[in-house]
Amino acid sequence: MLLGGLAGLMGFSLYLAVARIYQVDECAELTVAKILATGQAKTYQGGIPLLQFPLAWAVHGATRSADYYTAARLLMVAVFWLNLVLIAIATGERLLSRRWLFALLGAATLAPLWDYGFEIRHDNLLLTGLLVTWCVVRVHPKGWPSYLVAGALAVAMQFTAHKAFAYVIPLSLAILVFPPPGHRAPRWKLALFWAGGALGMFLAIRLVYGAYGPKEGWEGHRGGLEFVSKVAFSGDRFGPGIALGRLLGQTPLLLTLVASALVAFAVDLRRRGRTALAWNGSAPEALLLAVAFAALIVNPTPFPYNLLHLVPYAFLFAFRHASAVLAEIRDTRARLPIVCSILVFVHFVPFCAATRRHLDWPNSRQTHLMRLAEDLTDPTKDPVFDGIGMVLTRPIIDPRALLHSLSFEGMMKDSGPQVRDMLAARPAAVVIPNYRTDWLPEADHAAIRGRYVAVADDFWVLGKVLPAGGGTFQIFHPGRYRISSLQGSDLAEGCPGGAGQLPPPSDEASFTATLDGAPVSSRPVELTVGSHRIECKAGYQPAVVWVGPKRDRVGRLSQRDHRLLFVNWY
Amino acid sequence: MNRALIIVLLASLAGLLWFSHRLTGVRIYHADECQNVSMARIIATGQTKVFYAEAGLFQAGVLVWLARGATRSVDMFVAARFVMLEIFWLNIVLIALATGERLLSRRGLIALVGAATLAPLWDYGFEIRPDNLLLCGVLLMWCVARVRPTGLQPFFIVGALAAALPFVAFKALAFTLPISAAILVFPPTGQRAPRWKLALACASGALGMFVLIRVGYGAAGLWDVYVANLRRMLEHVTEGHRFGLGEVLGRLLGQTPLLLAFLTAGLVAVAVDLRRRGKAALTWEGALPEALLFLDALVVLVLNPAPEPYNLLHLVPYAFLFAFRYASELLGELWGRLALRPVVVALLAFAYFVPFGLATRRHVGFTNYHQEARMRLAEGLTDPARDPVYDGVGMVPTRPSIGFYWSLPNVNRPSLAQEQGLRLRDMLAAHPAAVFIPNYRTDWLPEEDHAFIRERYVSLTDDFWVLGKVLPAGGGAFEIVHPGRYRISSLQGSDLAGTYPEGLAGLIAPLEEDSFIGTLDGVPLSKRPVVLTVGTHRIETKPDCQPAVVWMGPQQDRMGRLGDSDHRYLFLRSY
Repeated sequence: MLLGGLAGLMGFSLYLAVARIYQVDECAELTVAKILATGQAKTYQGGIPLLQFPLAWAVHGATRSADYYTAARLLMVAVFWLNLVLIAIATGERLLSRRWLFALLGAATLAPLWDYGFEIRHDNLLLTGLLVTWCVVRVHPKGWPSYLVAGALAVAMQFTAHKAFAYVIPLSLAILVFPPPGHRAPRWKLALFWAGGALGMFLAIRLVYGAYGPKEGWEGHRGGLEFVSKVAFSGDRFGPGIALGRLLGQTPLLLTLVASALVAFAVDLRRRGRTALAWNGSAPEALLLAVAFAALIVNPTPFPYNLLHLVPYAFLFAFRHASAVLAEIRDTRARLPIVCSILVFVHFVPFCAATRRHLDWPNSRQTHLMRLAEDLTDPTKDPVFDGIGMVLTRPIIDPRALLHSLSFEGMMKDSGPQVRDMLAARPAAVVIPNYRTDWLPEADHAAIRGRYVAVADDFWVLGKVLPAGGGTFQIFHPGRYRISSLQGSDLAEGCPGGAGQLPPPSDEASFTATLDGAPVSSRPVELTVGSHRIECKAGYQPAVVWVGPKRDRVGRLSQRDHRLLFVNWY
Repeated sequence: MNRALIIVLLASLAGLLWFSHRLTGVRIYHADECQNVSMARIIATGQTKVFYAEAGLFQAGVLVWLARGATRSVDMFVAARFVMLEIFWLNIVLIALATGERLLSRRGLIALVGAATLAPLWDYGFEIRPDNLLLCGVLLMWCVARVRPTGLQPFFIVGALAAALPFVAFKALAFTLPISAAILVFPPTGQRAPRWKLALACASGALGMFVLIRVGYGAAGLWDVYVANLRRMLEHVTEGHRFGLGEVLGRLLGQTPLLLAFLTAGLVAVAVDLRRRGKAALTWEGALPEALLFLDALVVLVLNPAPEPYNLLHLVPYAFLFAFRYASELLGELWGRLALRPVVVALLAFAYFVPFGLATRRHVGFTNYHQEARMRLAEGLTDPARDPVYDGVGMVPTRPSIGFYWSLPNVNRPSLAQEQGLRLRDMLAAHPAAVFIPNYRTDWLPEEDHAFIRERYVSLTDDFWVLGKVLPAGGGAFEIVHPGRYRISSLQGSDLAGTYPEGLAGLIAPLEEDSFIGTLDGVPLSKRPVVLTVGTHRIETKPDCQPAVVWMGPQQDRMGRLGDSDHRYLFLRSY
């Protein structure tokens, strides 16, 4: 039953990894991974965290954006399950025993891990590093080899995520000052191996960055740290209420056991004093959880994905306590119905309810728009703008046009170019509005409305709808455009019902017009930058719509609210 | 420890009492509540021959005296809600008593707090529904039959309640018959009187109550109304589409996880006991009677063709009674082990009180402010005797509706009018409402009815329409179907929806000063509303001016802007 349950969960996680909506942070991670995968890292000015190296390997050779996402998500689902196995190992149960399988099932049904665990984010790799450190030092102490690995991971994790120091420093100090008894080696020797591991890893990373990373790689990392510290002391801080509030509905049994374990630990501490702080009880897990909780509290922007660095440690602490509680219920067999019922209704049901909601948020619209944008653009000549970098295979108009919640305000205050200036300097062929582009000022929206036409609320292309009878219009980006009546244009404005694949309108054949004096055929025309003129019968309103290098028409697109293209924290 | 616990329990109860009091006043009204209050008003004003009303004991007894003297709809709803709040807390006390604990003991207080934190009861427990009165009766029956069963008196009360409760809601029979049969066939332990005496006491109670109710109905002139309703209900009981239990039971998973855990484990324990002890396990001792009561309630819910979520009112209390008996035995034993106390307390906190808190907190986001504003507005625009208001749910009980079959039922069955082959547009044509308030139930009307409404009414906002007409530029002829005061202005100065900007900007912008110049039936118009008689009228104005004729009712001179609204959210089917 346990194995069946795990197999089912594995299958479901694979399905969700491929089908679930992409988060904006994932697009940002993949943008950097693509730079690394396509050998452009040398000229990249930002930092390249360690996660990008396996990601670059996973997405290597992909030509479509959707393939990038799928490959990266599959890599992350492997990391997700690796983390679950590590959590189960970190409980201290014997590998592949019944209790270990039970621990694995428990870890695999922690709802917050399913919310973010296979998203493309460096936090998951950071979690792997911390769990491996915990396993080698706390659960399977092997003396100096453990410390060598711990030292190496301490450095590697700092190159994975800037916030790693909040976990690595306390953990490293704890194991260096109070080595677990199982290591059976003098403290100085363990410290030496830890330092050796750290130095070795540092040199290895330096070599890797030297070979593949940006020329200014260290500058990128320094810039990242500066950004983090700036946010920490800015007014963009918010409390952990949103993140912690989720736990109440998603993990009631975990909270129950954690609360109970904390009381038990406090009682033990009061009773036994300092001896309760030994490695042989649950004190190490309690302190690990306390560190993780403190890190969440001091985090200036504790977005809910930070639960990735709280829930696993809470589970480790709770699992040890639950084992003790079950041992305390002597006649466990008689109490089996209530224990099982509590597990079902207070752990598995909330997990299912929380995880089932992901099915309502597929990535089908996102992948459809990625493919459409790719079909309408040339990979080198035609940029796409969405403020996020969703269409990875197409150039962006400007690196500063990637909108980030923490840097957006600074960008607006900055005297540098605004998005409308960037779009004017390097016009995108396709604009994909979403909640982040909604942050732009009205002047930017007006500029977009002036140059682009909506195929759907979340998909705009270069073009113009002219008044009835025609008129003069400006082309800002050279390429193939289709000229038709508004009704036959595939634009949202031309089909008021907004329905999806409608049959082609009947007036297409009767639409005749001239472009700069020459008759327009039903095929798209190549337009150069500059002013052009269309003339047609007074009863028709002509539309000029970008179709890119390959397509003859954009095709009708079902209507969808652009605010739902990306959704945060549903 | 005991004292501290009692203080915590009492403080919790005080907090819950305060919060329930607040929610009662401000929570959104359900369409069913409006129908119940409107029916009570119809009965109170002796209009049962003019307008349809269900004359159950709830509407004709409890609500009718609240509805009699009120002149404002809001007053009726508020008063009814506060009566329901009292029934809600009475039910909670009865649940606590039915656990068998002494109410003023520590365990009794725990039972009381446990019952008072059953989230589904907070969803529907103080709504104006007969189900709450029915629950009260069944709990009372259970208390006298199960908890204090000695002597003949409990059997007399059981008989009386068994006769009375079907007059509250006919489905009461599903509970009263099994309970009565159970205590007569298997008298509770300690009962020394012979079975025939018990049966006689029960029958006397039932007969006495029936005679009392019959006399009461006869004196009020409602017996025929009640019988006709009952006949109609029985004739149409199989109509309408059925739907499953998924929605209703799905709520329990999130709202009462610990209750479900104890319930499941308790049922397993009862099954194991039955298997082990056989017939000897079939006694009034232990939790078996509560298990059977719960299973009976579950069967009733399964058989219900339209198990709307409020039917949880007839499942959750019985589930609690059973779970409490099982849990008190189990937790009593676990509490004895010091090491397990923290886990027991934490389990209660995170798996019982927190889900309750999360479920109940959501009610704060759904208030009745908007509904009450619409009630007041409709009353301000109409005369209580002459101007009907139509919304299909009876949200404005102080105003007459448009016909006998006025109410639109829930989605699962055809409306009364449809049962009679009537169409709303014909009813509106015969008795035009001055105000039409669309909501999710009117959305179920056929398109022809909507077209008719769009033809005769103009929208002040999406959920508030009044009689009127927007004429073409330059004016034209129009038909008045209901006499009264109308304001004639330009469309821009009419305050109709769509004539001013959306959102706050539209509300804070100064009202369009109306410079409308025109004639009505050849007579120059002033700026004041005019009284129009039924028939055709003609407005003439400048060619670039589009006139609008808007119902103002007996008192208003101008409506002002109502702002944005969405009629689908005026009432919510469930949330």
